[in-house]
Amino acid sequence: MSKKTISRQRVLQLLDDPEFQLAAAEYPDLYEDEIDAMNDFLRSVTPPVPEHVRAAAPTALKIIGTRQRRIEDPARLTGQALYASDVRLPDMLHVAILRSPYAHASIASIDTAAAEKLPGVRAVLTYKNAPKAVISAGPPVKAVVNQEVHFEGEEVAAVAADDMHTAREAVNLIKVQWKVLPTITDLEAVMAAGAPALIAAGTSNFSVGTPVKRGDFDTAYAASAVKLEGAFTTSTLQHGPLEPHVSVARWEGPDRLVIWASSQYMSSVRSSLASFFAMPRSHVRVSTENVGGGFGSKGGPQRDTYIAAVMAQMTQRPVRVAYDRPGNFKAATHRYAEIMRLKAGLNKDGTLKAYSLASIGDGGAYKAGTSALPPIQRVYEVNDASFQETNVITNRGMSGPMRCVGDPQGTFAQEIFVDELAEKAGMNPYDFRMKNMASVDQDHEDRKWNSFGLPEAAQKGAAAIGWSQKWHKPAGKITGTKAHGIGMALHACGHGSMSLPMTAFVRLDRDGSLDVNNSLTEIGGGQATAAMMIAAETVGVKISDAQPSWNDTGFLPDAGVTAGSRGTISAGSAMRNAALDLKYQIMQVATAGAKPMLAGKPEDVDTGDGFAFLKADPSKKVSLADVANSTGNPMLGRGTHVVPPNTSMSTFAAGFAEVEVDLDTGDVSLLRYVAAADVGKSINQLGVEQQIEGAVSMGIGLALLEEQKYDPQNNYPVNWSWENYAMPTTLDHPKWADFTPIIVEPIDAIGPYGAKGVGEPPASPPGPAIANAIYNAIGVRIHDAPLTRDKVLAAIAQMKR
Amino acid sequence: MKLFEHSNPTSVQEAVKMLSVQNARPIAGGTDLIGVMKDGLLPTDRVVNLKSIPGLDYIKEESGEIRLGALTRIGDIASSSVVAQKAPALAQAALAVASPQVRNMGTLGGNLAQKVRCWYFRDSDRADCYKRNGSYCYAVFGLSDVHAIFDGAACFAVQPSDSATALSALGANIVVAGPEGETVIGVDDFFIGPHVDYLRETILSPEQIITEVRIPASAVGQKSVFLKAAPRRSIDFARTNVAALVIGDPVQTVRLTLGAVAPTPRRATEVEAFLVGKRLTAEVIGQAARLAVNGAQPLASNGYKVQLAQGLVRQALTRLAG
Amino acid sequence: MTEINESGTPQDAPDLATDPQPDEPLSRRRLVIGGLAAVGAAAIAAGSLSRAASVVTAQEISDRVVVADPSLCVGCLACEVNCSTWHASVGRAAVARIRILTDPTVKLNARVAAFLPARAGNTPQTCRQCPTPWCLPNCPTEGLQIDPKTGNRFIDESQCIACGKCEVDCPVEFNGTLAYKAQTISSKRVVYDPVKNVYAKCDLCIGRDGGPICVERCPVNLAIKTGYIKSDHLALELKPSTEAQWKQLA
Repeated sequence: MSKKTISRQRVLQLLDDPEFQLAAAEYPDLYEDEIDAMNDFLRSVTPPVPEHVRAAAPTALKIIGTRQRRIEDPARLTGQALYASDVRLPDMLHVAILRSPYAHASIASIDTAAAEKLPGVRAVLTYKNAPKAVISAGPPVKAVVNQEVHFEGEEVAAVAADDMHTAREAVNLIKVQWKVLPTITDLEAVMAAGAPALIAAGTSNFSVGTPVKRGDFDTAYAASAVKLEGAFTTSTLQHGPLEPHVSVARWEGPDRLVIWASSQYMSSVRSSLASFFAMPRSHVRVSTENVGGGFGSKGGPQRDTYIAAVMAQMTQRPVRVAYDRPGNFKAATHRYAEIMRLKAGLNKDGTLKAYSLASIGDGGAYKAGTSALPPIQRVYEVNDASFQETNVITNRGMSGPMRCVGDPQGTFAQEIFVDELAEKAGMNPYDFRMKNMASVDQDHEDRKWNSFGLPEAAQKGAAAIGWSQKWHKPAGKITGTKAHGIGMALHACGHGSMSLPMTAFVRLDRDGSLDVNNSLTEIGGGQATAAMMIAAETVGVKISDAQPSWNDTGFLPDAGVTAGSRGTISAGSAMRNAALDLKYQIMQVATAGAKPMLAGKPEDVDTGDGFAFLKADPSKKVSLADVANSTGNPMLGRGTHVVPPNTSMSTFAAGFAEVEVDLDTGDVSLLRYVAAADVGKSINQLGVEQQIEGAVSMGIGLALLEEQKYDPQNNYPVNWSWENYAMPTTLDHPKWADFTPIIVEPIDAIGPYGAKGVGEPPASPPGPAIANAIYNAIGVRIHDAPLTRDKVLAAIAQMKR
Repeated sequence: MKLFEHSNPTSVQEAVKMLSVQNARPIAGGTDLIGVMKDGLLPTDRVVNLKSIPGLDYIKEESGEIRLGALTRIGDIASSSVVAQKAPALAQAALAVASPQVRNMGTLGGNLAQKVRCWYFRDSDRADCYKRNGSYCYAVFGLSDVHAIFDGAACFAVQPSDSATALSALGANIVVAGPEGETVIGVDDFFIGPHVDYLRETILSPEQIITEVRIPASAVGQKSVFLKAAPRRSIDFARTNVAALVIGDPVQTVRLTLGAVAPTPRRATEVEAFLVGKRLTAEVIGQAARLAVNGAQPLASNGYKVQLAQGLVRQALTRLAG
Repeated sequence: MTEINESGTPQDAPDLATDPQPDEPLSRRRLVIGGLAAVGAAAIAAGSLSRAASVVTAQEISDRVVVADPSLCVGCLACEVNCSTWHASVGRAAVARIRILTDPTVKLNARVAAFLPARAGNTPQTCRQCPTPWCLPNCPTEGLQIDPKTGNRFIDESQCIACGKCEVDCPVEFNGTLAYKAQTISSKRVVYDPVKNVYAKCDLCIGRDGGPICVERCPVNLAIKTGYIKSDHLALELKPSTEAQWKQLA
């Protein structure tokens, strides 16, 4: 593939573009050229960690790889943790939001007089008095509130009042006359010739992505001994964080803005708001202490933040905007639905010869990027292939990244399809996969992966679930009305590798304790604890003497977004370099001066358990507190990390599911699930297991339950509540003893202590693994996720019984 | 939520009186009404708190009947050994309701008198829904996964109560208090469909309340069963449920009721007639299951309920055959 | 003739409760049908109804009649429910004057069938607004009337003594299985309401702004109007009650 040329000016822009940073973390494959250009630039300006400093890295690990409880857990579990939702300021106003009742419409007239007259109402925001600055230039343009709305539930007007009751009452007094505009409920009809323009006349409803091509698919397919085609769909999914979007904004004078936001990316809230109000970034301070879940939906500032800041400016009072549950279901971003068409050709011996994917992704109302490609490109070896994604506009809320962005969709299609290919080839699905597995980065000159744990993950997972004993012919084990099945899926992930920006500080206090600082928001993934472990291990303090801070852009360096499974690996890399920087300073200070605390050169010194000591004679030691007290300067380690050139990084996962299907009721019981994840070096074993569990849980939702449904006539979201948008409860998971996380640890050459990311990769295999298990149970394929009761019953009706 | 008046009657008569103003609604556990009010679905100016009435929370055996006070919490029914032993279908239904938290708040009376869960009705933006005194049913050309396959008429919302299905199969009676005093009405007559009145799901007038539920002596101690299918194993309202009571082998008396398939609990009288005098063999059960869905008219996306109802009937009768 | 606006609504439909009645409605006392058996549609057109009132001109036949296309009916019963609900709400008998019967031979419109395949086989039926108002002549009171402006044949319940003569004389039936709970029905299209002890028939929702409620609220009609269902006509429609139309209904 030819590389795009990207100017230095563009690179500088991208470095400061929070939206791009988020996209780059979530869709590294889509923005590969831009990411490479940024890395090239940053490498050119970032001095490498000097070799003598690098050499100070600890060799025997005491902290990395242990099991540590997350640092924020005690406060969270006792209800003492502060979330943005909890922030209440003196004289604070509450905002209620008027949302569009139509999927696509324009305001013909809006009358806010009655709302404004209601006692207690302090301001009403509509498109008429909204700032000229926009959130995104589009098309379609996204202002703080729009005149033209593009999905049902979109923000139309906001009322700030002394209390929430008044604000809600005032919202009900706003009268809007709508001009209803066309909407299209079918994803493919959006692309049909003559379809009404959903954005604007002359602006296409869809865009066709650049194809990824290898060799000549058509010829290879035509020559294949075995051919197969299949179409697969996945549904629109909700992130469903327990804490909806919430922001509190306060202006401290005309040019200083403070925001408390429930965000995965504090630094982007800061830079986006600074740019919106045309202020220096230093004049915006963002604080995010705890986040009640994000899963991708809180990547950048959403409208709640802009509305809070704008209305706080209008009223000169602190303003709190908290979405209610329906509002969050409707107006937060969601995982995009995909339609995926696969074709493959095999040799007689079951070797994959030709492979293609044409997919259509629902980019939503504001045209978010979509992709289902990475797992399809990576898992299986094939020389002749063609992969392409088309991105369409719909009036179905806003699409956006959600845990393992795009990959659960692609993997769902691929791993069911591969199961079918195995059957056509007359092979056991496990053997077929192992035979065709790719071991190199086929789209980058067959480079070796930095680390490659997929075969081990597959082997260990298969052994744990007892694949060779339990797999049987489709519908081959039915007892009474219960059908038993087992299924598996492999996954190579677009996430869990490194992305920019990565910066960190580590500060040694005079009592020898360690402050571990970066702005990587802790959203529950354990990144802060991992950063603390990395810093403590590297500097050589006891873990009990280290504490992380992540809650304020006022003093924390930008470590990017907590998304794309990049937190521990990207920010952790910077943290390791910052800690190395500090450690080397300790080695220098301990050996400096006329009467050095330790006699020797810096390189003769090592640290551990809060002491610096001579490597040759560890009994010659000095406490780090004494080291810190011997210099007037704060001992501050600074670190930056840039990805080395020409490296290929990927994470891998395998999933194995065992199910029982009730042939009377279509009930699917998930009896057992084994999740094997290649995480590089596991920093915090407990944290890794928690992330695997969480990811698998979301995967179970995708497989069996979750689907944001839209009215087929009007495109209204229908099940916008916890009641009807069914996320799995504990009873929908396997019993605790029957859930097995397996950590596979091929040391990654450039990750911090060999680590890679883990938050997302295990989320992709459950969908197809469970679908394949259901097929193994009943012998009828279902290609559409989620495999809800209605589809399972329809499949059972087709069984030959 | 709009401001409203909250009153605490201390007797049934006082409650009835307090309910006689416009837009007054009784509250017990509040697990349904609070949601209705928060979403602004039905105008509510006064909330009459039935919990302040003493003596409506009991499970007792009297004259061979099991009598349950309207304020008995669902969780207490689920854990009652009397109910479990003598009216198992009701115990199983109670345990199938929602989650432990909701069962510990929700009451039997509230479970029977709750509003429907149609997702269009529950959407505050869909104000023209019949149940909100509107003029349209979004389910007909919309998504009908949760809607009726039988007896829909203008409105296609289903009766969501799990306990109603069980009580119908048990032939229970409901004691209703109102301005004209107390009346006792069979469960099957208590619920009404939209063809009769689409604004109500029961015969209760605004000032009437349930005070007691009675399981007749003829059903007490007999074999009965309740089964429910919902998306998840916890929390959810039924997509279909079934309850059955069988006496005798061969069958002398049988009552079979399907829930969440129609605007009211739906007695399968055809099936009952078919089963009397027969032994519950696999073949007979299979025929009964098919008969149970005879005449179903699903909408666009609730066709699965036909197969599901059939499967649940088969499983319910199979359990009672054992 | 009453002008009909775009929505098919008679603009000057009288409100029985409040409107002053400019012309006294026709009733039996001023209308005698001679030689009933011999009278057919052609005779009507020829003006063979002998009548006293010269004020009646075009009202010999009703302006309009509710016409159903079974191939567009999904049996949702919105027409029945709204019919009885509306009439009850204005104090009239709470019975459905339109009923949906089942007819397994009915084939659904393709788009409707694609969406609601299980809901074919329904045929809505109601009063035909017969050119010869058979129900009317034997009414011993002023119960059955003809609206002088529209020709609408309707029952004034305040005058109805429930003698049942109109039912006896009604030439058409609801006969078969109802879509509602598969109940069997065998009755005339003038129906008895035991609650109010009056007879009722389709009166085109006389006095209602917006015309017959069944036409207005039929969800298939609404889907056709939004373009969701492609059809050049509605499932339930208020059509001119011309001779040709009546023949089709008959």
